[in-house]
Amino acid sequence: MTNKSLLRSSLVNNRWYETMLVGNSAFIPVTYELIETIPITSNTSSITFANLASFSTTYRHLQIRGTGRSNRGDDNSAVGIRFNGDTGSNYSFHNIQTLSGNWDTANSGSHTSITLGYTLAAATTASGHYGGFIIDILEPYNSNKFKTVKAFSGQPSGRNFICVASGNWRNTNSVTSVTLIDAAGTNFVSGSSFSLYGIRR
Amino acid sequence: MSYVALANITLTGNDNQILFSSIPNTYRHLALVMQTRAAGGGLTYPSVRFNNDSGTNYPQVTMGANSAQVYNTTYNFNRIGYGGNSTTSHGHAMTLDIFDYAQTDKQKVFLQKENYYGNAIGYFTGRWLNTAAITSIAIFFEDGSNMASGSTFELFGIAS
Repeated sequence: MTNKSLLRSSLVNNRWYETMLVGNSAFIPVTYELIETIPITSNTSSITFANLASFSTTYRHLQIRGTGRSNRGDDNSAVGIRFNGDTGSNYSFHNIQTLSGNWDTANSGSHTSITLGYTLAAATTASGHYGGFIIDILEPYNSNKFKTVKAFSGQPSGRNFICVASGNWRNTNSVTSVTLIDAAGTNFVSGSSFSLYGIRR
Repeated sequence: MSYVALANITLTGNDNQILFSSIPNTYRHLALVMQTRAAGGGLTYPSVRFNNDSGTNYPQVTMGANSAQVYNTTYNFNRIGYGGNSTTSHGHAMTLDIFDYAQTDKQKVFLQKENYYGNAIGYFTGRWLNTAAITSIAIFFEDGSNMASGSTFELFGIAS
């Protein structure tokens, strides 16, 4: 058995670089950086990562990772994504997903958010059950393109859900804020957490 | 730096288990990236366990496709890993994202993507039925056989 104890690893809490003197190894810059984490400590219908315009020259893409649970009276709820406070029907999405071993799809060409199906565990599941998700926001600061999102999420409780999704915001404006909502109109509950990361240019 | 390499292993000989131990609780999430190939024998399934838990505590759901069909199923195993297989000539690649691994208020949810022998791709999600912080990750083949020299395993911590 190969045992790698991180107690002895020189890479724990790694941030290292070698001298920039000629003949030495290159400095490897940071490329994936935490911008902000929003933990949920009480019922919250939405969260917003704001003031994102200041990162327009730093990051090419954004990513959200997190875990979530809803107080919706069901075994699941969905996460909706909005940009720049736009609550109009300016979003499209398409999901491939399964529940209880059955195939399912969802899509809309005109919706009030990019809706990621089956992302959150909800009230009828046992406490301690949360969904997990990774949401990629591609080129949010490119003013020549609509904004594209792709996501992978799942919550293996209740009817057991897994979802691969994509969508767009039909607006070429540079992103200044990202809002996540409980798409059923209910609330994220305590223990949910959302972290925003930037991927450098 | 928010996506930190905690440890990496490249096998220089065949081995039947990889163990990342004493994982610090200072990150929010973990990401495991691995590529394996079987050292001998027929098809075998790369598998993962947390904190040496070999109980039937890993309910999972999957959807995917291979050269013959699309599939989806739910199951509860004593390990993470289903369908993805490795042979001596065909490797298996997997990324495993583990959320809130050190938080003790929730069972541990994970997302997994893999591709493997038979022109196959799979998406998985699952839970470890335990609220304890994850302090070790074991990787092995389900039938106990050896992973081949050259197989690689990388563990990353993602900041909160």
